[in-house]
Amino acid sequence: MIFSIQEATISSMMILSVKKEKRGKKRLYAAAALLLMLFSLSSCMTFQAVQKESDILNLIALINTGDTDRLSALTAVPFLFNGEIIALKDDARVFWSSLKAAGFSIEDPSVKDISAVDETSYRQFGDSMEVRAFFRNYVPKTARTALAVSSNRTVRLLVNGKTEGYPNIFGIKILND
Amino acid sequence: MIKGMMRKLIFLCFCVFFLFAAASIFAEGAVVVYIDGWVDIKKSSGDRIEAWEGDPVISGDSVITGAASYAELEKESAAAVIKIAPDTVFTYREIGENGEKRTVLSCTLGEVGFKFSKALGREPMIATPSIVVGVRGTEFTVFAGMDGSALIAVDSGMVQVSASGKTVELVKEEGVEVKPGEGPGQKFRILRGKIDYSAWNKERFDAFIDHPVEAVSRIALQMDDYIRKIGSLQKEYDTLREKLKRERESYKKLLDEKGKETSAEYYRKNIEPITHQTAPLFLNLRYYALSALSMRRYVLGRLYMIMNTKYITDQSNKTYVQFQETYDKILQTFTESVVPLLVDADI
Repeated sequence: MIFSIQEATISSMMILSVKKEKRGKKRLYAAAALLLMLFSLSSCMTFQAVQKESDILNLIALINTGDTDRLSALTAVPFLFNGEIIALKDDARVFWSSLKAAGFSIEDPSVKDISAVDETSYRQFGDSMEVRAFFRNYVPKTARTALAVSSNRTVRLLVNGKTEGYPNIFGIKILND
Repeated sequence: MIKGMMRKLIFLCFCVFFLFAAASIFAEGAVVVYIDGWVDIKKSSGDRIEAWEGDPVISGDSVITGAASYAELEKESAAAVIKIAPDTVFTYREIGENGEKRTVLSCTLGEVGFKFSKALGREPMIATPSIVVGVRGTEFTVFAGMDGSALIAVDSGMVQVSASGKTVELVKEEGVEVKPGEGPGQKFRILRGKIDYSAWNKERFDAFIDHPVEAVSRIALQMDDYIRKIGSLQKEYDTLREKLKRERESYKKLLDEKGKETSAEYYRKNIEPITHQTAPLFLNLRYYALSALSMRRYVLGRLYMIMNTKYITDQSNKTYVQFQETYDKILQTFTESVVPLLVDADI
């Protein structure tokens, strides 16, 4: 995309330099519109993906595989586990390994809700100063909370953006039924 | 009301900072002189940045190493050398003592080696969640275990290890282990380089898995110790604040009645001394609050994570339930007594 913008910029400037004034003005407007369009498209490349139900279900499927490496790579540091802030890089691996060792799974999940985070979202994980501060300090404004209900438990996820097609995990709250 | 209290707290933090800076007794920080692998610095402002050689580490900053990283800091032109091993949380703090700031080098988790030369002058204090160490021109290593335990091994010089009101002195090739909430254990002989932190920490981990309720109960004792200290300082601080309030009212009255010159003298004699007393008290309140927070975050939080995930499919397990009860009690006292002294940037 970067090279496309550069090529488009160079192309636009070459066009401008060889045409007469009246046609030059038209070209100028066209080049400006082209550049604007290309920059908009390029910003879309970095625009945080809005999480869909399928994204959450894919993430849950990954959790059920117990792929510790991939899950650790998706997990932000610090991250929120229930109302606890887990602050060390290697603890993400410990967390997912421990869940796998315990036979944790989310059977037949259905996504009941996906919402944008707001000033009160922290209460879904824990109504405390620390959880509120975690949301203020570490959770991007584009993050979403997702509620997934399954036959054996309810899980609330805090996600933002994507890495290799899966949502990045900023928090998880596990409620056993 | 809570917002008002938070604003007051932040304002007080700034006052303490400027008071000590103006009085030129602001203690110098340390500098990162060597990095291997990815190392983070969690700044007192709350930001978490990648550490680079040459970065300053000042009061309130934490240096956090990962499983494959290492850092070395120096203070005052290598008069103090601090070696931070992998998987370690090291924090540079300050405490008020006799009207001056004193550096406290804190190891919440992991292994930190210290070497102080005579050129350093006044040595800093060393702390882990369970101990405070006074040093005399020394080379020694502090190990902070995942369950809040500490182990100190001395290579040269002398250290005093204090915990739960008891003190033990260690000299060359001596060591002692301390469990949270307890006094120092029996001293033992250590040969230089013979302590393997990973192996010792694994022992602590295994001990925790075998007896998690005992382990978390010791954390509760340690938290109670922090809260007792906070309570005592808070009382003293509140008394001084009341006195300051009364003196300010008298000063205001004097200013109205007798004018600037007389009231200025009154301010200098009666208000300034109290202000100078309250600032270090508040600094010490913050020191114990942040120490309690470090233990809660890097020790208790991890124990919770380990237990909760281990018993995720068996939450009615008796051991887990007992662990959770003690954990909940610790959180309750922490929320009541420590959280009011914290700001968002501390989290």
